[in-house]
Amino acid sequence: MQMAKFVWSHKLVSISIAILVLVVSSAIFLSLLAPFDPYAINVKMANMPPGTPSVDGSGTHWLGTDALGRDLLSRIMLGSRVSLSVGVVSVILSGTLGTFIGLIAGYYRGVIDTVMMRIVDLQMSIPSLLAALLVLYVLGPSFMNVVLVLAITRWMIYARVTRGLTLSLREELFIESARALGSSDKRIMIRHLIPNLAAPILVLATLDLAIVMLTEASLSFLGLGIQPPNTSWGLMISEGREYLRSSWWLVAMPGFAILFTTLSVNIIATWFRAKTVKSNAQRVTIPKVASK
Amino acid sequence: MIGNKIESKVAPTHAGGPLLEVKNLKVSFETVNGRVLAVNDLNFSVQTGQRIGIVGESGSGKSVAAQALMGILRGADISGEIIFRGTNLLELEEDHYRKLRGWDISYVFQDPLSALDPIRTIGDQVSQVLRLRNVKAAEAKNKTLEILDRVGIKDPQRRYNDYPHQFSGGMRQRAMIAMALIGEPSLVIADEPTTSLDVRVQAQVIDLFNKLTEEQGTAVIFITHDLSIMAGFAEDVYVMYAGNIVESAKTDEIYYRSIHPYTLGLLGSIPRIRGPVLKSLTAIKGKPPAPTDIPPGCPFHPRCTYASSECAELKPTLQIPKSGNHLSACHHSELLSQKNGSR
Repeated sequence: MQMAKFVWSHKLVSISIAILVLVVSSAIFLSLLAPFDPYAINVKMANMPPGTPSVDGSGTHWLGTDALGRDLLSRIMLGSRVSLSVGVVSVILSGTLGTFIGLIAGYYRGVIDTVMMRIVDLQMSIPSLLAALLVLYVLGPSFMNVVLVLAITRWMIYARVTRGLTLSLREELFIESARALGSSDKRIMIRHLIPNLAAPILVLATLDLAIVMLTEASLSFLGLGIQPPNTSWGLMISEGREYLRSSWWLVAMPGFAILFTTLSVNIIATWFRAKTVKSNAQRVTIPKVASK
Repeated sequence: MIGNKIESKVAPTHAGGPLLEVKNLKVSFETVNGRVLAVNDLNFSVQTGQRIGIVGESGSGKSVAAQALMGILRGADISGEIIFRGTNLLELEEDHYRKLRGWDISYVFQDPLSALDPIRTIGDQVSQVLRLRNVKAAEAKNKTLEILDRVGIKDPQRRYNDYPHQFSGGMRQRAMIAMALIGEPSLVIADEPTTSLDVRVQAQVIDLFNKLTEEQGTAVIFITHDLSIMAGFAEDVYVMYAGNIVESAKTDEIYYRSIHPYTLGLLGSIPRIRGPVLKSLTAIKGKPPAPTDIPPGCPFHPRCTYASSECAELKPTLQIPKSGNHLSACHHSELLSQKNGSR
């Protein structure tokens, strides 16, 4: 009953959550959920439009087949594995690194702060996709390299946001109070600053997840991301581009997958932010007593 | 009472001498508008278990002085000596100093809402002092419940897990007092602990604070701008103006036989219960000088009704006038002591 009420009052958020659950579960339970073997090649069935029955009559290619006759739906499910894990892992890496650097810079100020923030400025001025392409060209494309490159090109936003929040938090009286009770700097950071920073950083991370997934798609599309026979949504679009005139579904279907997933993540992040901002406000305002 | 300490006090009890002795304390800040002298040549001492009061307007340097004593002032130049139990705190390593805080010297903040971390429970924050000194979790919790009960928080068992926003203003200040006293410090600095509370709650909190510090034999430095709170509390009162102590005496002396025009001005602005009903209270004209722009001579002379040409040129020193019996920094103390002494 309570769930039904939530779904009714947050329709968009509920749909987004449903889409994400679908994507995540198809990535995890690929072998159970995939209608066909995503690697099974059948050249006779190449570039079949959506809804074509399979050659042995055991099922239907609901989203059609690709240039090698592989089932597109199963391929998209396979691709979700890479797209999601690249996104999540690199967000965790860049988030941790950026938060740590921002915290140190904002808390201690001085030379560390100046140096770190100039590095952030410097890296902010370089287009991140270009930097990523350059690094991947030198290191060679692989799953781990893509993750690392994405983490290295995204840490600055966390550092900036964390530093800004830390600057204002460190002047709060409760931090001074903790110092007056004899807390060390390390303890203040771990027990007071990080918990107070968690909500905004989490919101930032969810928003960034969508951006990272798109960047991964761009890198794979440009050929320096994930390599065949493994696949990601970006790579699928890249492969389908040659057949765009005759077989539109090769590009459109993975494109929709990217669109709906990132949109869902964004909607959830926005909702989450609104929710935490509200509870932040409630935290400081004393509830008003109704007066006549 | 909280018994056996897990960690002994860092400095040994200094036999004989005062618990705290502040000598020629100067605190200044470097700002874009030049050097600001927030505390100028502060001298006082506190005996074990003694209560002293520091009174002054906003901006007189009393909070800065208190924070300098705690060593939690950032970006300030501090000179002079702060001798606590025979150790000069200004020469102490930060690590040692940190261990003194909350344990041997503690601090009650002015605004209990912002001095409590909004996202951590009251119990967690009150017990922090003990857990910082490696007291076992269960023991720390018991002692926290005990002190919460002693500061008058009802149902401490349930309140232990409440967050600061669930507490009322008075209860938050009680929790702050619990935090300051849980380590059984020998000195507590209370920086306007009742300013954000209404008068009735103020009285309760002051009484409680009195009772607990008396029980524990804790020395107290009470900082306030409200002379009426000080009356029933402190034994010695120091009046500060523009970073200087301008008068210091026993509490009764200050109230009945003050010989400094500034103190007289402060006293004149307090409503009295006895005596003729005044239509309006006398206020001290003007406003306290900005710390960047302290007038030459006596810093109070532009606002002083007794000011003479001498006051604008020569800064008076803190001394006992011939016919008076306590310290005052005013060229006219002699005159005032003759006038007020006969009252």
